[in-house]
Amino acid sequence: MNETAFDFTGRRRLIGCLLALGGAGAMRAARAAETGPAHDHADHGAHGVAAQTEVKQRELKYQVPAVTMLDQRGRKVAFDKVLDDGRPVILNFIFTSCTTICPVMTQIFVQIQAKLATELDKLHMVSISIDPEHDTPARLLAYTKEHRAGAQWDFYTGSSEASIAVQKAFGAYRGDKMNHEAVTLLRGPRGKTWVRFDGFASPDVIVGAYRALAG
Amino acid sequence: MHPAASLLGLLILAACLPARGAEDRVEPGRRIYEQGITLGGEPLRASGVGDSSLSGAMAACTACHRRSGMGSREGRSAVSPVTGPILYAKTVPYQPNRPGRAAQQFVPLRQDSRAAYDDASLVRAIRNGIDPDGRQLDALMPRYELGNADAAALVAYLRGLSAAPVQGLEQGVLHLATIVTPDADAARSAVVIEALTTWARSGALGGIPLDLQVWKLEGPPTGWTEQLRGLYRSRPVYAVLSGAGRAQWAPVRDFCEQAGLPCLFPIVDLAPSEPGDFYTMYLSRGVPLEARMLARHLGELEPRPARVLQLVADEAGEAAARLLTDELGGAAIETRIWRAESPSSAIADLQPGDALVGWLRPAQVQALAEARPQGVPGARIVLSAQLAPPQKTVLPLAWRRDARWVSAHSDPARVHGKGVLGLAPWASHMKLPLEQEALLSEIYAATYFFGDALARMRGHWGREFLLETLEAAHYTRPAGSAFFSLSLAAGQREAAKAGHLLGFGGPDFREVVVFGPRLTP
Repeated sequence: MNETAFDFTGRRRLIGCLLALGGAGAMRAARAAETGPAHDHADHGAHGVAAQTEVKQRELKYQVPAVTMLDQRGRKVAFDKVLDDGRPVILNFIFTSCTTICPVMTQIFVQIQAKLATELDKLHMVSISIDPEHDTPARLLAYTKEHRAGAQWDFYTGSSEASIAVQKAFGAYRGDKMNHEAVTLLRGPRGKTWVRFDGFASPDVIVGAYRALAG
Repeated sequence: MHPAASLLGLLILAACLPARGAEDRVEPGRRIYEQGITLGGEPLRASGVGDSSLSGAMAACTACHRRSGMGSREGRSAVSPVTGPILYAKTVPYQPNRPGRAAQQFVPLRQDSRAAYDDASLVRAIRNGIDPDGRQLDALMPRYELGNADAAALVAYLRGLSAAPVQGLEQGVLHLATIVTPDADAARSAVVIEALTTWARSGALGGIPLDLQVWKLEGPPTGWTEQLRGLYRSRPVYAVLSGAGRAQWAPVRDFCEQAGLPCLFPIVDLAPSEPGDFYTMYLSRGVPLEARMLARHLGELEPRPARVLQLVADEAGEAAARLLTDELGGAAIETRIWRAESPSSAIADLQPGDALVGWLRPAQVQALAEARPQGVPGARIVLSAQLAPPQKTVLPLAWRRDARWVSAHSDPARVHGKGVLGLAPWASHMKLPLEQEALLSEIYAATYFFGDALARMRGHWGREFLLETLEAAHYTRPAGSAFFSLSLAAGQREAAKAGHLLGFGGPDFREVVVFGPRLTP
């Protein structure tokens, strides 16, 4: 059964439910669209301008889990300590095989890196893989080179459990990686309060919020 | 740029070009679309979200619209399709209660219709982000800097993208094939052929008539390419599903990639992998994954084995042993050839603290165990579940107690347990005996995920779209229970990602169980 329902900004969509039991010959796609077209892989028009550039910004408290992860150089790190070294953090979730959301999110991070070029040593940019079994440290390292990520930008992978724990801790876990959504998180030098952007927040908006937090 | 000026420019350009038609503009257009390289060999340039600038591969259309042009979807973000038939047709508002499974029209989520593009309005959309009704395209669509020649080439490419009739789908009949190589294990081939031909006859794909060819190759591998070409010429198929091989799959892989033919989920002990492989897809490529998991596992042991001794008996084992040697690096590691006439001589000097890695078949494992029935106390013994599944071996007590198998395949209890939801009813419906449960489970997975992908494609039949749809499937369902961990995504072609050590447990060490934590490469 392939069924997911979201209720994030008040819109509710139900992905078509499929029964594909080969032998039973029961391959029907039941669709239950409520307000919009059913979100089937083949059934997408240009995602409406309103939904795509709509960004929700909130302040929330998060508890970073003390899980072991690997960075892009294969070093084992305690993830809660990694985020607790006195630097402000800008954080997102990616996977190297992503084709819809991550290219844009990574571009946004590249732009942020450029805008803050003179103060990168004071900042920690963090991208966490949500496909850790495919995204080995070697793959993440290649990704950093492809996008010219600077030393302030680390990528993390590890066991599925660790990646899922971090996603859940930040309210970013949607089950399968294909269900993930655009989210960027920002925190000052220390503490538990984060600024959360749901949607594709532009580099200017994020840098603006960063200046407000980091002073 | 003024629309009339650019249209005039295109007309003048079209008049000046040699009169050979659009065909000679399609290939340069493909380079722009897939690689972000213009006719002049320069990186394609565009402005993206925020005020970012993109160029080259980062700006290539394929990154979001995919090779098929059908776009992509993640979470609540969707990238629209840009195939010729869709762009050049009008779209109508979505009608959720429309009957039938005919191809749906695509519509912006604004619930409006959109006029058909033509060449000029398409260039305007790509350069300026305005659709044929004058509305702004999504902010995430880049705005491209395109000269007139590049624009004409790209538009010619898009017009033909996924527009050609699909081979293997004729008069409502879907033609498929399965490939069996002569070196494949006889039992494996027999089960694959029987299961697939029964499935093809059982009305499996929701009423789409299926015609399945069994392509049984003959003779040495050097002749297989010719045979495949001949078979395909006489009966072009839409895709190749499942199949049985051993360690000589390269000619099949080469043929599938060259023909642009999806070859999905064959059951092999060793399959090659080249960067850029697109049309060949596997649940598992066999022993290479085992070798990589084992390399990491042995490398992380405390203390590490003093010496690693590998035994190989055929090409699959040799490839695995080479991979393990390369990945383990720095350790004392040696590979020896199996000798049937004196099985235990190869391990006569094995010491406690060493590790023995046997890339052997069941009969060879048994011969080794019989020659040294007390085992090798103090040494680690690891065998390959791909080549010698533990449940297929008959071993003396010491070996049952001590040996482990590196495996991406699930333990039998898990296959059986999850099979209650999928495999068992399927096999029962098709009157297939449930012996060889692990093998049948892999075949069932192939048919399941293929049928599932076709359903999600909703009448759009492109082969590239089939592969992209398979990339986006959810492989955690019970149908995938033959393996511990399956997942795919864009550009990935081997779904198996992790495994475990298996071994015998329970009273008298008769039951195959999982030992230790999950292994990953």
